[in-house]
Amino acid sequence: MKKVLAIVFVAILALTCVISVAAAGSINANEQKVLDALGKTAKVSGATFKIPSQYINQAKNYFLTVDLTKEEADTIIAKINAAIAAIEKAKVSVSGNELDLHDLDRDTRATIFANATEACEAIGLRLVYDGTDNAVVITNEAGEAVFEDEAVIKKTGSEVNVTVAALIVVVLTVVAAAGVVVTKKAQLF
Amino acid sequence: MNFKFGKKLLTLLAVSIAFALTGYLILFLCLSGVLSPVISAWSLLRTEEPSADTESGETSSDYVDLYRPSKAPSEPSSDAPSGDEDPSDPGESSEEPEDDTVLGSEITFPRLGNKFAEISVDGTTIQHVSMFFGDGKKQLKNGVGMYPGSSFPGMGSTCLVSGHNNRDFHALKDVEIGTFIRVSTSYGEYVYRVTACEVKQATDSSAYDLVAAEENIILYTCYPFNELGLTSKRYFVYGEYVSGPKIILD
Repeated sequence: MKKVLAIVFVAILALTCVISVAAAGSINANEQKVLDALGKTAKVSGATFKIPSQYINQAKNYFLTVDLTKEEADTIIAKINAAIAAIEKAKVSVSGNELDLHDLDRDTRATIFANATEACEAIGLRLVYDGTDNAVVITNEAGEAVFEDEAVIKKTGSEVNVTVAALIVVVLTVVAAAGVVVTKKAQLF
Repeated sequence: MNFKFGKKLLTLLAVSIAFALTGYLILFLCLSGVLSPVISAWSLLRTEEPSADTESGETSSDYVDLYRPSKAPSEPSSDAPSGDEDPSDPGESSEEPEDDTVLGSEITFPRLGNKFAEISVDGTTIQHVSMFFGDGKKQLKNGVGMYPGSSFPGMGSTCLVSGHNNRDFHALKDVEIGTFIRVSTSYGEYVYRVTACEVKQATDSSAYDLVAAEENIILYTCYPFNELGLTSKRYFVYGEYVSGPKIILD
């Protein structure tokens, strides 16, 4: 559910990107209405779901850099309400309080993605959904990310490539050991 | 016998080295893209204290820098103690108090990847480290990053900041309770007092509250500090708000 709402939110957020980028530095009334709508809950099979607070915070931080008009806000809110309605009508089997995109039926998923993609393309944005990582990224025409769906706590240790390097050292050690074995079998000593 | 044994030993070593070099050559040709990480790993192994000077080492200028000091860079003064002075006093001026609010409309808020602040932690080598909006690989390569799902300093909630444990935030291990964390932004100077340092699992959602009702800051990095590769734990440093202008969204 979190991912589904995130994707819908992403598509809705994309609509805001047509707006002039004159620095807003504030949350106007239209944007506040959108934030309030994002805070709504959806009920599916007796369970209650809501958009994670980090997504709403990202929306708020984004709204600080743009200005939403009433028409745009109304469109976004309508999309949010439609998304909630579609999800609540979806055929799902809920275990626990979280619903993943893959828990929805295929038609619902297709509808959500189609709307999200078209919304982004209409304003020159590109929505990318990585099914492997189950993550969503929206980029602008310059390829800059304007929204990222990633874990709150990041990997801040040695980078993965360094681990690969360490593995290479291990491999080389094994190769050297193999040299020893070959030497022995060749009866060099 | 000794000569024969020595000859065999040298032969053994020579063959082993030859195999290793040959193997590395093959791997290099096939995986030349990982040569840089190998060099990084070597420097990681031989260096105990990474440089906290963000002007040295590998940095990228491929980012928008919105940071402009809101006032002259802080210098140790009689009323602005560093970590060696009275820890209970962050350095309040004896003159009239500064305006403690700032209008949001007067701020140019950053977009993902922009540098917008610098962070320092008293008593450590974390001094004037670049702070970015966003905590992706690129941002953490150039400094520390604010999680975009958290709140800017002055917004009255949690500012969540991450950095690499083999770079800028390696010195978090030296942070003590009562130490001051200073975040310098273009719109104001913020001071937080460290209240706790804890080790928690990266997946522990109780480690942070992104909708906290009070201004606070959380710094974190991977733990243990000298661990190579991926770790499941993080070292969290929690700071309570002391001073800095509160943003009014008009």
